[in-house]
Amino acid sequence: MKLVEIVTAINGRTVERSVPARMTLVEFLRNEIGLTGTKVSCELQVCGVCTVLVDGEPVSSCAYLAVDVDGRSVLTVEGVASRDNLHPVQQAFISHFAIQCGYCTPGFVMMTLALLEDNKNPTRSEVETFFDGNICRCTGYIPIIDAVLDAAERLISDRMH
Amino acid sequence: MRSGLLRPNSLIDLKRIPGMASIQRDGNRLSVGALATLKTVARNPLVRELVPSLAEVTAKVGNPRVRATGTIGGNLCFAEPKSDITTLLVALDSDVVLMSRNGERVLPINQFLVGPYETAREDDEIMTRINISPVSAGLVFYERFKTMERPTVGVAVRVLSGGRVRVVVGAVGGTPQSFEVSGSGTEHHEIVSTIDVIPDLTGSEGYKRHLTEVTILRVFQTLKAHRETG
Repeated sequence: MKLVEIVTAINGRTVERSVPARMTLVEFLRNEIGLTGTKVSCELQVCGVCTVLVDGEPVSSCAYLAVDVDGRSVLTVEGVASRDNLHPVQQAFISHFAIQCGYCTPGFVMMTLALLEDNKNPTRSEVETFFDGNICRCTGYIPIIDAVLDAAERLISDRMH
Repeated sequence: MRSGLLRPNSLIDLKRIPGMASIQRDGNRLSVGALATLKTVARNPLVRELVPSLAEVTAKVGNPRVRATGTIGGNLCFAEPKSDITTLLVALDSDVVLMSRNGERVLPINQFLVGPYETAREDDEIMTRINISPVSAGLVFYERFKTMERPTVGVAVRVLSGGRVRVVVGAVGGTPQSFEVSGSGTEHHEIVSTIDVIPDLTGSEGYKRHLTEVTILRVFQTLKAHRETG
């Protein structure tokens, strides 16, 4: 299959590569770029562990072609913390024990960023509905939802100060 | 393609063709570009004004990632039996526009949807637009029963002129199944015994017929309540 040249910004860094047209974005991120924070599980968009943000939109990178990020920006979990500090979303997940094995966590964190960008003050019910496409086998979800609501408050309060 | 079963020589990206995602009026109809994402359709002011049921239904398809990347044309061309959108569009008056080197042709949605995962699109055609006549919020209702990622049954009910009602049952058979009834609420037995039902992991044939009956009754209740509150 043909190789396609792509230019993309991954976590703020410009990357130029030649990729087979059939390569998925998650294969590209994990195998070509070495960013293994994004996970693979169901391969049919129902579990959420492969979530990344492409131009701010949440995407199942297991079902998205690498060539489709040409000219676009990609944010993975590795790009969420600043150089010195965890992001408030990450801090909230830790505070609420919203992580056990951690496999689903990158996906939940990326989806939380997408949610709070779109809806800064979601209700509990809105959070639950939003995470319809993310599966966790360990926590029972309640600590995750608590963390998301807490993160929303932290972000609102950060903006005010 | 991901599993290595299909090995095309080239892939052609339709997504950046200008105009294929636009949403606009076409005469008195709503014209939705085939490449409009479900999220865009759900939030678009023109869709909310002219065909609010389409905005409501697309807002609940799949999950936020599916809605951010999935397109309405992709949904129709895949012709997944358990699509909410195909069921609703059969209830509304909608056509699809298919284009090839030989020009355009327009097909009513129920002629486009041929069978499970099968449409009337030829290999050299692309879907460009979906055109829908406006239907206000009080004239069409959709409800579904869903336990896993896809609906087990979806029922769209549309009030037609003269008081007759179109009932469309989706997800249980290979394609949406449409019935026109008087609206007195007694025909659901006939609908439920006539429909094709595919048993699967979400239910046996008998269970799905039962779920269909319950869902039809629920939609009729919603319709009745809406009529009573004016």
